[in-house]
Amino acid sequence: MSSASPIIRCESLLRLYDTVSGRVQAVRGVDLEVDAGVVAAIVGPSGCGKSSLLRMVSGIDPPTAGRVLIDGIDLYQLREARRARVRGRLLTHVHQRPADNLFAHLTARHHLERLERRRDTATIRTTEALEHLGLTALSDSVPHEMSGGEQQRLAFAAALVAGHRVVIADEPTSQLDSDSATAVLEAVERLAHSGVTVLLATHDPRVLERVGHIVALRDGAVSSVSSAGEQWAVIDRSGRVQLPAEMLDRFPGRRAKLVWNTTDDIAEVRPQ
Amino acid sequence: MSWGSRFARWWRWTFLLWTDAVLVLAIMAAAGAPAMLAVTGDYWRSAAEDEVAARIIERQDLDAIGLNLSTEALFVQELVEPATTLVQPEISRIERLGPVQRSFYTLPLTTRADDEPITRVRLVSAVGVLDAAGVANDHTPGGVWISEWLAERFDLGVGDELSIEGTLTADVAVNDVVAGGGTQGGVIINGTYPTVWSEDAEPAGGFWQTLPPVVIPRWVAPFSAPNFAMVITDETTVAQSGLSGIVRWRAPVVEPPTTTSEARSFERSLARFDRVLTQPGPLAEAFARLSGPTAQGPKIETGYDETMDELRSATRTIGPPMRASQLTGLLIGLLTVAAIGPMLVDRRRNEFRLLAGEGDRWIRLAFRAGGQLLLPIAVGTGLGVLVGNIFARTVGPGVAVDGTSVQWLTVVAVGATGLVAASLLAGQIAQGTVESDTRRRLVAHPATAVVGMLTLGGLSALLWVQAGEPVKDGTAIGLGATLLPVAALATAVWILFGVLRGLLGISRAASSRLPITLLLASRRLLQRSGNTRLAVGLLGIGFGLLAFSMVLDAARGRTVEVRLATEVGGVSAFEATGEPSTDLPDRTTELLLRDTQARPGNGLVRVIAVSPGWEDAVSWPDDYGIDRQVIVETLRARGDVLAAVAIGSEDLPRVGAFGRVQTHPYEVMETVRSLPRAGVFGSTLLISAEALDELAAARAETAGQLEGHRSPSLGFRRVIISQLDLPEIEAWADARAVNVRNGQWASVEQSRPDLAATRFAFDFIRVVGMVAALVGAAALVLQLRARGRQNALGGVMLRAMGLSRLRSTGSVVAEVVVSTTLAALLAVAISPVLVGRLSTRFDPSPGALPAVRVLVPWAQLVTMLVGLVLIAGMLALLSELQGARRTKAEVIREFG
Repeated sequence: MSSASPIIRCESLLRLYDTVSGRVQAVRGVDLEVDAGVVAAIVGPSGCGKSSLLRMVSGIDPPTAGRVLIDGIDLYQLREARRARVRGRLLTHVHQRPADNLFAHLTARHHLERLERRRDTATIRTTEALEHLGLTALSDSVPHEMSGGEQQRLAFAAALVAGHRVVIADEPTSQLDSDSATAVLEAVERLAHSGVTVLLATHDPRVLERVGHIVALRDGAVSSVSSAGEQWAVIDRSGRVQLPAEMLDRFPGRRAKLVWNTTDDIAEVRPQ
Repeated sequence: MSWGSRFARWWRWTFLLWTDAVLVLAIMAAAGAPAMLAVTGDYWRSAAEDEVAARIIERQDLDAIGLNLSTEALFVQELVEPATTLVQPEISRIERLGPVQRSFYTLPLTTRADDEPITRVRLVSAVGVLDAAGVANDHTPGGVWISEWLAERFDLGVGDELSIEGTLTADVAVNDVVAGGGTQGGVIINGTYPTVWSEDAEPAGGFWQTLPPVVIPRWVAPFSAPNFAMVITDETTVAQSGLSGIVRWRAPVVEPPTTTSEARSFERSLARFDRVLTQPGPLAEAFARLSGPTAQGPKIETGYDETMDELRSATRTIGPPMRASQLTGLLIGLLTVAAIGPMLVDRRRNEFRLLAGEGDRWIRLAFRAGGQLLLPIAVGTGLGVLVGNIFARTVGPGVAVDGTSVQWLTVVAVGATGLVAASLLAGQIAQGTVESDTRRRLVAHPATAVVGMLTLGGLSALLWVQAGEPVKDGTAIGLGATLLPVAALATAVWILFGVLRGLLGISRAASSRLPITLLLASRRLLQRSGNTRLAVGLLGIGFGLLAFSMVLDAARGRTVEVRLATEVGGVSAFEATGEPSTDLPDRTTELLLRDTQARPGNGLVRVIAVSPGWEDAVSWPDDYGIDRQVIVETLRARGDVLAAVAIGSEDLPRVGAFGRVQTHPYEVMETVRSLPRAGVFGSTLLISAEALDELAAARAETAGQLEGHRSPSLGFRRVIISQLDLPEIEAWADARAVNVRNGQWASVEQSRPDLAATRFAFDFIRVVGMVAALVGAAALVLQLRARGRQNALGGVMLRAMGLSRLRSTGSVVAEVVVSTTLAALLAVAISPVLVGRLSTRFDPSPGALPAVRVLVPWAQLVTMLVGLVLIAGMLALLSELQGARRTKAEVIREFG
C-alpha cells in the first residue's frame, strides 16, 4: 500500500493506557500508509488495538508516541482546537453504533444540508448524495425512523457532502443484518469511487471479501498486510516480524531456529 | 438553505432537551435553587430588619419620637394665629402623627406676692395641662394655677393676686394684658396643683419619664431642669399677653411604624416638613414675623432621629451576616446550576460528540448548550422565585411578601450567571466528548484531582485560620465564616470518597469475602461516577449545613439563655430604692450590689452580697459548673474574714479587703466563671450579706459602737430578683409603695435587637442547608435514574449467573445507603468542630461569660440522619423496582 503520496500515514504509533491494574500497551509501534481513494480494512481479534488505532488516526485520541499525518498534516502537532477544526474539514469517523453517528433531532436532509452549508466547495449536493446512497425516500426521516443500515449509509452520505477525503469507520457493519451490511458496503465502494479514502476496522468476512487492502493487527502491532490477493509479513523498524497465529503451535517453548541464507535472500524459521 | 429550515433545525435542537422530562425537571430545580435562595434571602433580611425595627420602635416613647416644632415668639394673637394656621396643615400631612397641640412657655418672669418677689416664674399654657398636673379647684378661664410648693413657700392661696413683671416686647403694659384674665394689675390664683417633683428626688433620669409631656415638655429649653415656679394658665391669657417666650406645636406618634420601610418613610416625611419650613414662602414669612428679626428660626426636635440612628446601626449589623449567608447560598446554588452543564453533556453526549468531531469550538458548543438551557433555566428561575415567595409566606420569618423586599436585579443576575456558567462548562466538557469513552475511563487525571483537592483544602484551611482569629464585634460573621462550613464539608466529603476508594482498592482481596450484596455494593462504590459523587456530596453538604445550623442554634440559644440568667439573675429583676424589703414574695430575693474602685483587685470590682435563700430564687443554669449548695456552704463566715466566691476573675487577690470608710477583709474560697447577676462586669466578689453584718458587728470595738451599728450593706444598691414575671413584681412593689426602676425581663432581653442579626443569619444558613440537601436528593434521584439502565443490565447479568433479584436489588440499595450514611455521619461529626471554631463569630457578645459551649442536639440529628438514610434507601429501592419491571429481553435489547 505504499505510495508516493499516501493520504493516511502513521509512523511508529504507540498507545499506552494507565489502568487501575497497570499500564496496557494497546498499540505498539504501528506504521501504516493508505493511498487516496482506497478502501482499507484493519482486522484482528478483539483487543488487538483496532479501535485505538482508528481513534488515533481520526485525531480523537492522541498517541503516546508517533505521528499521524492526514493529507500531509501532522495531526498531533496541532493544538487541540486547531486539530478539531482540521479533523472536521478532512475526515469523518463513523462509529460502530449507527445511532452514534447522527443527530436524533435532524432529518436525513437536514443532516446533509447543514454540512453542505459548512462546505461551500462541496462537490456533491444533498440531493445527489441522498440519491447516490439510496436515501432519497428517507430524506425527511429522522434517525429513529431509519434502520441501522440506513443510518450508517446516511453517515457515509454525510462524509460525501462534507467533502471529506477520509472516512474512518469502526466496524460499520457489525450491528447490521446481511442486506443492510451489503448496502453499507456498496455505499463504501461508492465513496471510494468518489475519491474518498476509507479505513475501516472489521471482523466481518463480507467486508473482507470486498476490500482490496487488509491490515492484520495482533497484540497492538501490524502482523501482515494483504493486497491484491497477496499477503505480506510486516517487518517493523526494529526488524521484528510476526508469525501467523496458527503457526505458533508449531514452536513449542516459543523458541525457533533461524537460518539466514544471504545469498538467496532467504530467512527460515524452523522449530527446534 | 432557507431561514425556515435553519429555524426548524434550531427549534428542534432547542426542544430536543424537552424529550427528557427528568433532565428538564432537574435543570429547572437546579436553576430554581439559587433563585429561591436569592428571593428567600432578601425576605429573610427584610424580616430581620423589620423585626429589629419593631423591637426598637416599640421601646420608644411615642411622644418622644413625635414632632416638636418650637420657635421663639412674641405672644401676640395677630402673629401667633397666622403661623399656626399655616403650619398645622403641613404637620397634619405627616403620616402617623396625632393631632397637633399648641403650647406656650414664657421666658422667666418675676412675680410679686405681697411685694415679695418670686423669681424665675414661667407662665405655661397647653391643652390638657390643667388635667395632667392635677389642678385643684375650678378650671374656669382666666387666672393662674400655682404649685403647692409655691403656695406653701409664699403662703399663697386661691383668690390671691400675683403681679407679674416681665420683659415686654410689645408696646403694652403687662398688667393691661394679663388683666384680660384677672384683676387689673395682676393675675388671680385660681387654684393649686401637686408639686410634680420633690427636692429629694433626683430630677434626672426617671423623673422626666414619669410626668406627662404636656406638663414637662421635652425639647423645650426652659424645662431642662426642675422648675418649682411653673405657673399654669389658659391659652388666651398667655397667647395675648405680649410677653416673649416659646410657642410649641407638638404632635405625638399615634401609629408607630412597624417595619423598616415604614420607619424610613416616616423619616422622609419629617425631613420633607423640615424642608417646607426652611423654604421661602408664606410659612417662613409667618414664622419670621412671629419670632422677630433677631430670633433664631423655628426648630424641629424629635427623638425619632436617635431612633433611626439606632435602627440604622442595627440594620448595618444585620446586613453583612445576612448577605454573607445569602451569598453562600447563592454560591452553592450557582455551583448546582453549573453542574447542569456536565449533566446536559452527559445526557446528550452523542450530539455534542458529533459537533465536537466536526470541529466546533468550545464556545460554539457552549452557545448551543445555552440554547437548550435557556428556556428551562428561565422557567426554573421563575419557579424558584415562586417557591421562594411561597416559602417566605408559609415557613418564612414573617414579612410582607409583596416583592418590594426582593432585589430583582440580583435574581436576574443569578439566573443569567447560572445559564452562562452551565453553558460554558458544558462547552468545555463537550469538546472533550470527542475523545473515546475508553480513553476517558482508563486514563485518570490525577493532576486535576490533586489540584482541585489542594484548592478546596487550601481554601478550607485559610477560612479555618481566618475564622479563628479573635473578633471585636460578635456579629462579624462575614463571608468567610459562612463559607467555611461549605468548604470544609465539601473537602471532607471529597476526602471521604478518596479514602473510601483507596480502602476498597487496597482491600479488594479482603472484600471478596464479604456477603455478595455488600461485595457488589463495594465494587460499585469503587466505580462511582462524578455525578453520583456530586449528588451524594451535595446531600452531605446540605445535611452538614443543617447539622451545623442546629448545633449552632443549640449552642447559641443555650449561651444566650445562660447569659441572660447571668445578666438578669432570674425571670425578672429591678432596682429598688429605700429601705430593704422585708416581705418579699415567693421565689424572690434581694441582692445587694456595690461597685468598688481599686480594691480588691486592680480594676473595677463589683461586690454582691446575697441573703439566705438567694440560691432558690435566682436562675441557676447547669452551665455555671458549680453546685448551688457548694456556694451556700462556701459563703458561711469563717472567723474574722468573709468567705467569698470570685466570679469571672483571674486577677482578683485571693485575700484582700473592700470598702473605704470601713474595710471588710475577705478570702476567696472558690472561683467560678459565672453566676447570676455577675453579668459582664470585670470581676465580681460574692459574699453573704448576713456574714457581712456579723463581721461588722464583731469588729465593733465598743458597746457604743455596737449599739449604733448600722449594717454596712445599707451602702449597697438593692436589686430584687424574682422567678415571677415583672408585672407581678411591680404589682407587689406598688402595693407596698416600694420604689422600683429599671426593670429587666429575661424573655424581653432575649429579643434584643443586637441578638437578632446572628439569629436570622444562622436561621438562613439552615434554609441554605435544607435547599442544598433537597437539591442533593434530587440529584441523587436523577443519577439513580440515569444509572438505572446500567444497573438493570448488571442486574440481568448477575441474575443470569444465579444471583437472586433480592440480593441484586439489595446491593444497589446498600451502595446508596452506605455512601449516604457515611456522608451524613461525616457531616454530623464535623459540624460541632466547625461550630466550636466559629462560635465567637456568631456570638453577639464575645467577651461575655460564659463562653459559647458547643451543644449537639443528638436526638434531632440522629432522627434526621435516620430519615435521610431511609429516604435515600427508599429512592434507590424504588428506582430498582421500577427498572425491575422490564424483562430480561427488554433490557438486553436496549443495550443492543
